Amino acid sequence: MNYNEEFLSYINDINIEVTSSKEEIDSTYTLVMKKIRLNKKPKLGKKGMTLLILAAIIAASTISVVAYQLSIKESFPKVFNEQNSVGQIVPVEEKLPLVEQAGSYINQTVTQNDVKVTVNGVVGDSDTVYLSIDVEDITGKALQTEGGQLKFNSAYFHIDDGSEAGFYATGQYCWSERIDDGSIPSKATFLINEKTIVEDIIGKKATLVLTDLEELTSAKATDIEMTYDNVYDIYSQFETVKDEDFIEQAIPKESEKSTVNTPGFEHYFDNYPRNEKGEVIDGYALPYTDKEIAFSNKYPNTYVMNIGIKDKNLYILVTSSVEEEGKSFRDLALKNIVTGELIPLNGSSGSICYVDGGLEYGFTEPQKPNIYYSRFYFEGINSPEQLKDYVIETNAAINFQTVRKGEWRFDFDLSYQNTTKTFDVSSSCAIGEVNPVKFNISKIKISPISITVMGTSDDIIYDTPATIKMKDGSTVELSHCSSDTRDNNSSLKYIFPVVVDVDQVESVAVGDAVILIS
Amino acid sequence: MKGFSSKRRGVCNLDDNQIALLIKTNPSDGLHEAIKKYRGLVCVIISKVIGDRKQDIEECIADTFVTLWKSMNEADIINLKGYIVCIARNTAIDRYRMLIKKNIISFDEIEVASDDDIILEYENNDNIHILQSLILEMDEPDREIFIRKYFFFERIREISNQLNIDEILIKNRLYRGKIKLRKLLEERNVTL
Repeated sequence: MNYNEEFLSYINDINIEVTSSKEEIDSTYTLVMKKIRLNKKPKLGKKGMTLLILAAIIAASTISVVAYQLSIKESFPKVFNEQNSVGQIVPVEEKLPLVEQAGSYINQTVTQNDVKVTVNGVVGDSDTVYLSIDVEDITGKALQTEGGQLKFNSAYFHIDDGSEAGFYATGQYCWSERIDDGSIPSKATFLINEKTIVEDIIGKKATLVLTDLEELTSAKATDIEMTYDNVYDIYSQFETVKDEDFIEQAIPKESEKSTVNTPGFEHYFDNYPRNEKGEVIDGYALPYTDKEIAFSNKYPNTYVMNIGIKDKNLYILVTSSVEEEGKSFRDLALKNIVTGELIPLNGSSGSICYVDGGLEYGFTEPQKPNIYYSRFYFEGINSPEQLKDYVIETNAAINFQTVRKGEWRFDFDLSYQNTTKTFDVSSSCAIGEVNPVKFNISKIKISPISITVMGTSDDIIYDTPATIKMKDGSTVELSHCSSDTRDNNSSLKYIFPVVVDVDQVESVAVGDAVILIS
Repeated sequence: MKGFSSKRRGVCNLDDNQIALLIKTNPSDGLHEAIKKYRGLVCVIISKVIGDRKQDIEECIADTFVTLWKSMNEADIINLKGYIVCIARNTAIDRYRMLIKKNIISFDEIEVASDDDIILEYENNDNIHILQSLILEMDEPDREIFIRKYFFFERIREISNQLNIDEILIKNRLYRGKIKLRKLLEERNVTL
């Protein structure tokens, strides 16, 4: 707080007489308790007085430690979801107790260089953690200069498992994702969500080391003078592209062969989907249309031919009647006009279509000659409505620059209820479609937030999708996987996209095996 | 102990030090006492910043006491009322700025940050302590007028009623006080 005590003392003495009704007091109290998840204890009576006096004596010489329940909704805003009865993903409500019992309050704070970092709490199971971290500039200054994506340069998480190897040899680097809405410039909340490399972590001591806050900048971002207010206004000019209308981009068999014949890349395409011809599909492209929508005064000969969303990716197909202009329309970024945050380009390709046509990778049909075609896609767009907040910029030199130097270190116990259930099973499956590896599954560990499938294999197994089937027939698709093979012991670890009631799980399908959970 | 009353069982008028201690040792009771004593004041301050947006006001009031609870373990709070007022003010201003940023309200809708709000202007600066010191150096009643206007966001009429000073006189004192304050800040090389 920025106020000196003399100033506070003066404010103390300014008399402003206002009272609240009992209803107002109770209402506020209820809301406060809800936010910090404390249960109201009986009002102070004689016994309470005695306790207060005793507490005063104790507090004078010691620091009192009180265990508080973690407020999931406050500390992990919009992190946990559930699947409702009609299959929609909604913020967790009914299954909130499952998350609450897997969480605990940490509330450790380290301040350095005017930046106060607080680890609020943890939600976890035997090998998964969600950590909530608040960051605040104590002087009230904005954390960022440009309003781009904010993250820590590094977030190193170490669990003390008794190993004698060095500190930096036995931990893991994690990604820190910002989860608040950015409405308060001097504050931010981050999430670290990882499957741990150490198993059975409950009760163990953990260390988190965060270094340097940095922001994504577009040092050379150029305004393209869009003639529309936002990308949605361009999107709404086109018919919605359905998933099945996207063109699969297939890798020719010869290209696949040359890759898998390279030592170390034998299993590179094992888990890629394939089309009817058996070709690897490594992406999707928008179909061509008859439309050409001009959208930029700076690129007057460049048009949007189609735009669509698939699997949380935004795809844009662009044509340019002037080749040089088409080639210069590069390095795109989507800029959020409210927060300034940038979504960098995830992929692009471009090609001129020559008079004699020809099959270009990604441009599977000859189109108009002498037209330059470009394809772009961005990750992180879930719905067309999201595009109302974005404009396109170009020549965005995307890089991260440090906005606050520092190292914030936290040591805490992973003390929360163990919600993981372990099932011994006997099953096997084939992982990978080309040169499949046999995975003998002997154990499954499942909690409301994750599942680990463990066993042995003769070779390395790679990430593979899985499906949870619930007793009511609904399913949860799992794609966020981390695979691990050491000395023939293999595991596939998945973090759930929604909170799962373990008692309602019927089976898990991995590779070509369906394993009953009982 | 000072402030305790045994006249009615279970009802105590605790002073600020006792409330602060209670929040640390028995948060649920401590917060209840703090809310009972200061909810009204917090509500008044927040309402002046964000108008009559009932839901936002309720959230901000609750957030104020949550922030108070969170702060209790970090430092000893000597001036509880002043501390609560500061938290309330900052919480309300943060919410106000968020509502503006999201175009939920416009600058015209609520009379808070006007062009001449010198405290808001300099508040996020590194030299906030200099600003506070200069305000404390003002003579009375200018000091109290200044803080009521720019810190508690009271209207001229309210200040006039509280201090029993003519409204025109208050306006004059505010005007001269601002000019003087700005000059003193510039002399100390305090910039925005």
